[in-house]
Amino acid sequence: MQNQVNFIGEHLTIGNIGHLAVVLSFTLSLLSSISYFFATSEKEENTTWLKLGRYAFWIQCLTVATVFFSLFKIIYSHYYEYHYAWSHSSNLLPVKYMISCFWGGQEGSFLLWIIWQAFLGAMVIWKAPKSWERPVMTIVALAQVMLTSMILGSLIGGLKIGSSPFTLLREAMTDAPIFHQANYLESVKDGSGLNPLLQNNWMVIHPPTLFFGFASTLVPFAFALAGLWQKRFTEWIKPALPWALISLSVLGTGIIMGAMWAYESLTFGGYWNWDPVENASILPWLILAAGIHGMVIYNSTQKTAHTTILLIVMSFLSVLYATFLTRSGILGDSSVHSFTDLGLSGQLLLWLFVFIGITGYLVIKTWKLYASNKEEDQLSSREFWMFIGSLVLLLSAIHIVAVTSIPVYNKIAALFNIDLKMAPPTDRNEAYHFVQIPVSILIALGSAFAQFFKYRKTNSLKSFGIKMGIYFGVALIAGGLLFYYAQLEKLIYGILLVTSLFAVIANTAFIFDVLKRNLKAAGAAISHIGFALILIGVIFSSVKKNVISQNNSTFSLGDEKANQENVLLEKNMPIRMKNFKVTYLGDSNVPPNIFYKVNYKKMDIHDSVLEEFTLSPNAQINPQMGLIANPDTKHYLSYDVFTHVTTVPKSEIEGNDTAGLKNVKTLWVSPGDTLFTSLAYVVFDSAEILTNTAKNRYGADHLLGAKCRIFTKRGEEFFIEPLFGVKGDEGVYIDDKCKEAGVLMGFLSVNPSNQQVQLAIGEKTPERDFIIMKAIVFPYINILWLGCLLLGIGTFIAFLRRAKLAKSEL
Amino acid sequence: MKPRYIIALVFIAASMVAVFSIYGKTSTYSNFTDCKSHPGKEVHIVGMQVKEKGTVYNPQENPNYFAFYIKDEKGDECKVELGDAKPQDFDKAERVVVIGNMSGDVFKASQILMKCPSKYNKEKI
Repeated sequence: MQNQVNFIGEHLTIGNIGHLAVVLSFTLSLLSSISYFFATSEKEENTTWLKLGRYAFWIQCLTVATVFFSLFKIIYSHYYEYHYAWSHSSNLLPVKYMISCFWGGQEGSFLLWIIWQAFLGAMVIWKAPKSWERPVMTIVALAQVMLTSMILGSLIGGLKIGSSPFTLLREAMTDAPIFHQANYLESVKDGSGLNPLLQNNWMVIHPPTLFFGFASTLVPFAFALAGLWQKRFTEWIKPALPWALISLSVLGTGIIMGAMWAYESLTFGGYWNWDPVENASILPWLILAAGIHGMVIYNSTQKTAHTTILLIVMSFLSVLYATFLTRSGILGDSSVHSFTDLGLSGQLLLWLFVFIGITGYLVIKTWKLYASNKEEDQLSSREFWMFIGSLVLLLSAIHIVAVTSIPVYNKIAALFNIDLKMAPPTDRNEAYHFVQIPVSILIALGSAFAQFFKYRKTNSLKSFGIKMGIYFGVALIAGGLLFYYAQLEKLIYGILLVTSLFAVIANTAFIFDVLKRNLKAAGAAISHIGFALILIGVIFSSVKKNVISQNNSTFSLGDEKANQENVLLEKNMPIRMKNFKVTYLGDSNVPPNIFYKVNYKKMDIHDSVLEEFTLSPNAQINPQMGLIANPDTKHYLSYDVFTHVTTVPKSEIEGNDTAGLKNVKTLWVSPGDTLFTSLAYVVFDSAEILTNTAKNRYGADHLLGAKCRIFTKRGEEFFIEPLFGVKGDEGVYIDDKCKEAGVLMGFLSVNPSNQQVQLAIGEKTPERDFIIMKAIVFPYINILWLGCLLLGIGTFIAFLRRAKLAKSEL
Repeated sequence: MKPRYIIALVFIAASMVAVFSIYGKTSTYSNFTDCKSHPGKEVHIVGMQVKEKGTVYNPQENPNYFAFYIKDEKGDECKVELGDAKPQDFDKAERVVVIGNMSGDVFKASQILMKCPSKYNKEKI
């Protein structure tokens, strides 16, 4: 039995409050779900169970808020006795990124999801038709039971349920000897810091948006299940439609923000990589989009009830499956994202099966009870082609899930003692595009003409034919010319381009010609234009993506795999990259980042400079993750120039300036004095008081800089400025170095009476300053972003219209 | 036959094509011994870095050549060459997944994935 130690300095109350709030929200969600369940069978005028369910859910919302604020307080106050704060934050973390800590870890991102789900539940109670509250909230509250159980962190019968964000550091790492000391907190002064990739403005808004999207797929799902359960097989569609549309709109926006984040701050050179995490976000979107088409068809023609229900329930189940994939650690060897396995995979799988079970039971039990409209399918009806469209979207989702699940097949085969050894495709793009490009062509084609048909039957087929002929003809000529002049290589890209243009033209014409510019009704048309523009933007920016940093100077080893995409740039030595002259100008250190200034001069054919700009890709030296490169991009209307460093000289990474230092001297000098090294001489010009920015950067109360000039024997001149300051009673010393001259200088002290300063100088072997970088031109990427914007706006307009229609029925 | 049955059949057929097309495009997890007998075949090999043997990366000579040694799950060691810059977090990684094929005695990788040891195992104070 280990002796009980009374630990010093821990703030246990806040963690206990937080943990209690988690337990309460779990219990209250359960109570709410059970109460609502019984409420469904009580008489309309009897509201005992209903009230209980409602109050339990309201209070549950308060406990969720308490959990959030407790965890925020822990992170904000740097209580590193808590494992979550210690692993995902640090003293220097700016407040705006403290919010990002919530999605730095699994527990926090579950909490984010819980918060949105609590909010959505409250909105359902408030806004949804009262006749639906009981059954819908039974399911919403059950889903809340599921999510809160993931952060419960309690032992029930020896089984660990969930992982608590309020686990103490000493509980998480029981083996570390330091936790035998009562005063261990004195040596835990700082956290290990937030993943630098999350310290980005996109990462402040992308996860909450995406998680709202994920969470909101629950509401249409709950309506569909409630419809089956209450045998109101078709009534659910109208009230559920606005919820489904807002979910589609926000989920789509969240996915796009993720793509923008990847483009702006990751270095794989693109916005979409078919990574399992990305696939996990697009799956529910595709299925939900298919389901919404089904709902709209049903609304107008009472057809496709079965398919619609299946699609809507699948969109939520796909969120659960995707969560299982990305958080269970099963993708370990197939994704660049490092997923930490919290040992929750069993629990995630269990919940997935619970929801599949409930859904499957209700769907099968009622399958024969509800009748779809059995009237003859008309090839000239709008619903027929919309239905085909849903199936094509579903096909796209089926393919994505089949490829992403490859690691799952291995696990399943292993259960039967078969070693499948199946690995993800080596060429991901090729494997996905094989199906996704034909699918995109069909979607573009369908979204172009389907709306011009009438529901049930189109009588004026001749005028339909003429219109389509004109729109397609224009698209064919424009697309054909673009295909030829842009040299899009493969015919299939040309077909995709023509069909996408057809969709843009036809839907634009639809807004003017059919809707008479009534934008309130144009949600679908605007979304379709957006989708088609995304396809066009993708074609140009990916097919014509041009790595301009092709390395031609070094000889090739005859290795066809060598991509030759990295170029070494020596400081002040311009290199020609296509029509740019690129020069590395040097670095500047703004802890924790080092910015590398890279100057681009755009040249014309006569070799004179058209214009120039300077990019500052940066690198952060992170103790856990090594060098993390952050790209910088110059945006033009018709193309982007994207640049990031892949490698910097080793001394920068190690940050060890003193290694190999020799002839170190310390001297008192006055302005104008000269110091000598074996290869250069240094003139001390003046000591100057530095401004607030520099002072804040180093946290000093007062800061001085010793301005010096270095003259090398080769005739070069450099500037160097070591800093000296005070912070309270302690001195602050910031060395400066000049690699080319091989000089390192420190500023040690100042004598105010005679204006002399004490400087230290040491010398190293001079080395050339260089970076290895990659530069990529993305043409017409703005078409893609414009398409994304229109898709978001279009789905939002559709939401507004359907919300109004649903309300008018009440 | 009603159009809806035709649609159902076409949809099922298309789904089958989509799903089974994966089979021809997947790679396999392998080891160096098996890999040597199928030169040119693209495989995934999971291995541990052989840190004693060091790594080769001289950007001033060729910024697109990086070489290192890994030991596969059977314990066989092999040199791996990557035609790209050295990934910055490489030295931190222990487990490495290399994707490529054998060429003589050298494994030519087109991609490598680093599996940094999980924070939860490594963290020490």
